[in-house]
Amino acid sequence: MNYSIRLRLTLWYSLAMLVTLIIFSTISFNLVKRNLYSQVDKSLSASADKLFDAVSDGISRLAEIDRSGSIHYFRITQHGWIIYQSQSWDSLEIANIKIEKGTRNGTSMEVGTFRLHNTKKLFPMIEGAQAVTVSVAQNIDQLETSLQRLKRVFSWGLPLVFLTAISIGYFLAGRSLSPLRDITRKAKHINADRLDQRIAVKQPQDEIGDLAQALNLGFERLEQAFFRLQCFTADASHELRTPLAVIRNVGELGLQSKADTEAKNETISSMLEEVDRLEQLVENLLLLARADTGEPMQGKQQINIGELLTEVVECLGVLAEEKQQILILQNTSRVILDVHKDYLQRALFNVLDNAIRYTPEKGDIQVSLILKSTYFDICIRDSGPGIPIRESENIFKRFYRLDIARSRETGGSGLGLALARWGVEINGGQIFHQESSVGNGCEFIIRFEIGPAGHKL
Amino acid sequence: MRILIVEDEQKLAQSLAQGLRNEGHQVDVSYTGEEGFFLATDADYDLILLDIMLPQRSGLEILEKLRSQGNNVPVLILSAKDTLADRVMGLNQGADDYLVKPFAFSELIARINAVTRRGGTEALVVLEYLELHLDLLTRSVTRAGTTIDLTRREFDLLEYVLRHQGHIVSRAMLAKDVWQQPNRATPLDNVIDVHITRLRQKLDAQFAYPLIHTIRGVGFVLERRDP
Repeated sequence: MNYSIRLRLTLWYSLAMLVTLIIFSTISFNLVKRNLYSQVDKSLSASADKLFDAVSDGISRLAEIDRSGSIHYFRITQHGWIIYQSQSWDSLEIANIKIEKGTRNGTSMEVGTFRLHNTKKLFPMIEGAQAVTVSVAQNIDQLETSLQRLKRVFSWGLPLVFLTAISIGYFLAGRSLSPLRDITRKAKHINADRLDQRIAVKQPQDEIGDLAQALNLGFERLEQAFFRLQCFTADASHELRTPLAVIRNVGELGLQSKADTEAKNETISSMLEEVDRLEQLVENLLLLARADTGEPMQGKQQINIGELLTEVVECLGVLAEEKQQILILQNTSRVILDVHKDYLQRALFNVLDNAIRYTPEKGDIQVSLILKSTYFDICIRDSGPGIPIRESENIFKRFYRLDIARSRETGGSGLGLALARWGVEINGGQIFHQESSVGNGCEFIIRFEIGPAGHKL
Repeated sequence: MRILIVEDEQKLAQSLAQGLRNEGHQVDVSYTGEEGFFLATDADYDLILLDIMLPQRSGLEILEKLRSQGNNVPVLILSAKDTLADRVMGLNQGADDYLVKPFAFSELIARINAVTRRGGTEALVVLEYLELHLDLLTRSVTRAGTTIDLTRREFDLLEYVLRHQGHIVSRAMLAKDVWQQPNRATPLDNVIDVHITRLRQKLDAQFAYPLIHTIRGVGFVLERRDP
């Protein structure tokens, strides 16, 4: 069943209240009842004591008590023979009951609307000690009436209190849940078009405020992700459009002109080059899309980072040679890391390729492996124009370009560092740019934590 | 060879068929899975090029059916799906190779040759083309009797283009087979270009005619071309 929280809260609280009330009234009723009876019993027992005292003073004393009316119903018997009986005793329904029977010595019992108390005592008589039984009774009509009244109060008051509890509970639950309703209304209102809106947090300390803040944080992330996606889609479309435009225009031109075979071949080649560019772009985009969905990657393997660096530097070394740059690899210590080799290698390729690309001819590039106690750094330092430190984070964004004209000329896709970051992070490392410790240039650090819990040296 | 192409994209199927005919093969084309399966079971083919996403009957289904019938014709899957899971599924179903679209025609030719030659490759020790001579044992290269000193990478590169003599090799093929890189990255293309340039420098510069040619937008080819 699907009732609202408000209703459920009210019902549960009221139910708890009802149970408490029932227990409370039962206990208090019984306490009152026991208390009243014990008072009666005490007074009866006191009367009995008084009568015993009177017995020794003789019948006249008993008659005196009877007359005074301080004790209404009493009878003194000895072996069933009545010694004295108060005038009112006869009116008792119990008058003819064999009162010695059915009741234990010194205890009280209820007989009709009366409470009867029997006490048997050895009494020094003229003929020696004799057992005398004193029976005292008291009308408890009034007591019963007041107990009935109390019962009535409870049985009428209980539902009344219960109803009041329900309504107050319902009201209070509604009141305490109303901020939740506000949040729901607001959250429903926020959608893709209105992601910039936030839920107002009235009391940041309480649970509801917590919820609102958590939701706001979620919206914040959603907004950012949404914004990134929008930018990415726009950028990607733009990047795809450029080679497509080239293909179209070159193709159209090739078709128009009455060129010879060689010129036609030139046209086709030009188109194929653009197709190649498109292919690589699509491949990179697919890779990034997969990175975004967090598709599980298989194929981690233990590789020696020193060896991998050597491989990468050797492979790209020819590019540096072409520019007469000095590419140095420092320290190729054996560091074993459990990684997806392809992705890490691609990351290294991209970063080193950038370094070579932006370093002028005859400049120098340094790749080093720096071992620390809890981590190691792969440091790639170039002597290019460098990157302003405020752009350190931006350069890892997809399609982000420091200088559009320059990177077009050098043939970058704007995805290299984004892919590099992904390739490093998927392997549990981090990559960042920092100001070069020497000269201009820029310095990229790829850092992996090592230690007992992580990777072993 | 008799080759069957099962591919629903007609332009692609036609151009592949034309290309393969130019290579001297006999080619049948089917645009639907149903017809493709019928042709594959009916006629005797030396090779089937199979798309996965097909109307009526998927490529994987056809492949599974063929294999369960005991038909062991070499099958090369052509698919736009490129995740590892897709490849593994294709190969598990009994495909001989898996080629991701878009691919260079030259790569298709190379894969076809690899698939159909599978099992019967003679271990060559010497590769030759006209006056070029490459010895795999001593790792030495001579052209017209002159010894040419090559680096390890240049030697591997030359060996590869020599094995594919007369056929175009794409950068993707070189990246995968010579550099052993599964993913083709832009930096690698530049590296390949540098090595090709250097190889050409050593191999062609002092000789009568060039052997290595760049086909713009496609790749490289080793052959003698009349000027």
